Amino acid sequence: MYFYLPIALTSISLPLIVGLGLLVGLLSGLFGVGGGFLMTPLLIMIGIPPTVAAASDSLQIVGASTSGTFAHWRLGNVDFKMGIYLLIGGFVGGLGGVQLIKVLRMMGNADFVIKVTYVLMLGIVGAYMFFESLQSLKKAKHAKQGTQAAETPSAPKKESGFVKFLKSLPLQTRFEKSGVTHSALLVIVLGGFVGVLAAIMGVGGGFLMVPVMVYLLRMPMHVVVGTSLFQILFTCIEVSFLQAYVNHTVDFVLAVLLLLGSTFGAQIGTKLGRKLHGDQLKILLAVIVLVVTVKILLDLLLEPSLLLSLKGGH
Amino acid sequence: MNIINKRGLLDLIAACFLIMFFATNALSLTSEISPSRISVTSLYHGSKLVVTGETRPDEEIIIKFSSPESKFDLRKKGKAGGVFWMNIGELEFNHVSDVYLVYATNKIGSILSEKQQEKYSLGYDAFKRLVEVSPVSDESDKVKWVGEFVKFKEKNGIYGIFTDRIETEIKDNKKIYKLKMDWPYQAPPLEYTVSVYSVKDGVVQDYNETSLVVETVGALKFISNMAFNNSSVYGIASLLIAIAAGFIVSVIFKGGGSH
Repeated sequence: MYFYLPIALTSISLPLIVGLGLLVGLLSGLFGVGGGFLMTPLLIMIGIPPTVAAASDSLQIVGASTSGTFAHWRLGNVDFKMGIYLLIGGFVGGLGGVQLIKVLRMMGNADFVIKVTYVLMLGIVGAYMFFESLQSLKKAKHAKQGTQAAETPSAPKKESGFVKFLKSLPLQTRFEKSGVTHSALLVIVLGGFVGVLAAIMGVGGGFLMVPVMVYLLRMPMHVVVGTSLFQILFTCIEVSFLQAYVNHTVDFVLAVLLLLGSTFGAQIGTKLGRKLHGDQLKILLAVIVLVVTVKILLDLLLEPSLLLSLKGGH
Repeated sequence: MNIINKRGLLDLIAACFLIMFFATNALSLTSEISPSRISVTSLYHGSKLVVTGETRPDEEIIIKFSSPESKFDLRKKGKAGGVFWMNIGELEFNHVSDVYLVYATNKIGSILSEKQQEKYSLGYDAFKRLVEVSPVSDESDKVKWVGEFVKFKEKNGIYGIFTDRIETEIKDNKKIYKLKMDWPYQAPPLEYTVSVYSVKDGVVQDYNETSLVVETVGALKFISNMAFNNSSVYGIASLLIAIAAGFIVSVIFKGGGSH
């Protein structure tokens, strides 16, 4: 069974597109990522024009993250206060990132800088998460400390200079749900940092925000997932509207078909996530991020079969 | 008077011969396309299309589907820093058709002279000469990128030259041709020109044109119109539906009592 897409102007197989939605929704509910870094290239691969793929995926993420946020909220996994602070930073950072792209383009070779940044970020984040989680899992196994050890990232026994510096920053705020205390400034700056990178790379930034929350803000993994989804929801609402209003690239039919799978996928992912420990979740996400990194690297190194492509996409 | 009558009679006979000559030439090539209008609905995945007609028995047939010429901006890939394959700029292709499908009873190069190919824009050789590309450094660069353009379009299923799809048979001293094809779903809703040529001795003897209209209808037309003409409402409505869908699924899962 095929469906014709009125904005993408192509026809797609219904089981294929619903399956894709289900897969990415599952990852979304499981890890708190929007899945744009995975979905957009997959959509382009099946013949959707890049600009339409990125914009429609953004609308799809709105639906999936609504579903995921509700599911996590019911489980008490959303730190709204933290989410709002990060959102403020992300919004400002996003605006800054867009300006930075303009400067890079004026200097020339912007695509090279963007692509290399993307691969480096994915590679570093994936590799760090993988090895850190692997170590934590081993430690937890040896110490048999149960859930507690797996839930919280390996906290330093002695306060480092960096931690002392963080504690000396003004506007220290308690984030009850996450059980951490940080300077509001730090949270906003980190949100801004992810916002800049997300804007440069043209992705939602979930795969960057999750490690930032885990390793720099020291939040428990399950709260990270819920809070990340909450934040992604708002970011994608803004992006979807702008894409629909300014660029006319949101394909409503495509987004709805993806939603058929992703909203259910997000629910299944959330339930599945409850059965896994924080480190197991992190290691799975790390593997996915690393596989995507290798795929992008191969694309960069091997001569493509087509030397021309439509504009848009990552 | 007699002389005048004789002269008049001769003129009349000559005129009749001329009319008959042109009439047989003009009517020698016929073509019919079915359907001539394709409605793109929600479940559209291309359409069956038949082009039939007749011509003189010793003539070859070429059928071309094309859309109005326009401009295409595409990204070009190349090696950056001598190592990485990535987008290294943009190219503008002018005077190109979005869709270019040509069906012939024989290889175009073997039945039509170069001049005629160019005159009627038939075959990739002519296509490559007629298209404009910028920026390119020289002619060989242009040839390379036009070749890539054709490859790109062929991969999308909307460019192609086929010499084995038209069926022919000789009947009552006429060649009857029939092309049965799958109109590609990748071809966007537009008004296409279907040109049929009869060819002999490297020259087009006759040709006729008809149109093929591909148009969205019903809900698809409504969505498409709204997206382009009422984009703020379209954006807000899309968001509300996406949020509602996420919320409803969330409630369904909760209602199911699965946790």
